[in-house]
Amino acid sequence: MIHLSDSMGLSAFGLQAAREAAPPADPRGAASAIGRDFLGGTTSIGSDVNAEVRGSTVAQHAANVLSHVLCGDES
Amino acid sequence: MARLLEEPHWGLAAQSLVDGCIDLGHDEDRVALLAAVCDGLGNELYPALLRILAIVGRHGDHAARAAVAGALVHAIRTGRLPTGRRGAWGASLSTSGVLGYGHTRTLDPLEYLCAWHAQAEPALAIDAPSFHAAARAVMDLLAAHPDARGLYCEKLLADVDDPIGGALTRQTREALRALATSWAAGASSFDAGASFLAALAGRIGDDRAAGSGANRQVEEALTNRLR
Repeated sequence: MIHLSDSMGLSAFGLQAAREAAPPADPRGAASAIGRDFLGGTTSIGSDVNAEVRGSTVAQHAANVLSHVLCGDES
Repeated sequence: MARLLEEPHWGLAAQSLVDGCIDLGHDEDRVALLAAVCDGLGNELYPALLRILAIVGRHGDHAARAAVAGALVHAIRTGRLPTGRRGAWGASLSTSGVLGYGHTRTLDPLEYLCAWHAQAEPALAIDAPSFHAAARAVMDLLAAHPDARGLYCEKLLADVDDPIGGALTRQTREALRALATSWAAGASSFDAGASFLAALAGRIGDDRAAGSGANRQVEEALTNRLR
């Protein structure tokens, strides 16, 4: 089993620093934004894993997910 | 504290979660992935994880849904289903996100959606059509694994029978019971979600259901199904 704490793994991908630099989120605003158009605008989600992600670690996969929704890693 | 992008890439996030669940070789690692994403988002953005799960349920092909559902089943079996924290009795957290000891409870994805819709401050609640769509998508995601429905309903029914936990109001618990009972009996995700809304509307009474509240939204949801 790969044990992954919040400060481990994610920090290796720069997300921890980005989160610490970001101003506090407004939980009301964030939840409202997430709740709007909850399932809209998404194309199909497939199951063919491409070669770039194959063999990644838990931390790398987690960072990939988080980078798509959190600030600080928009590249 | 984590903050959302101005325009989050929900579809890419959902695809990345699926990629991880398929690529990782063991259930333990898949559960660790769910935990890492949940922890990375933080409590305030737990709804973002629900949205990612719902997108997989709504837009994923069967193999994609089965990969994530398998991870969720292992998480249920090992007591590690990703949870979000809300104020006790369905109240929202304060703007500071801080409440005293004993005032917050952790809720699994369906419980959280139910509490989010039924919370005491209607302006902060997810509306009935959005709740219904999200709950259906999460149930459809879970249904991609043959053991998930039974396991999850067993958990939900155990939770609603635990009033001491104080995570949900009595009305919300009864409505959640209606959802779990209906879904466990083989109802579609649409009908199970509608059971929650109907039960909640019936019990809340005049303050929210009359006129412009949940009843009308339930009717609209049911009407949309017939179109």
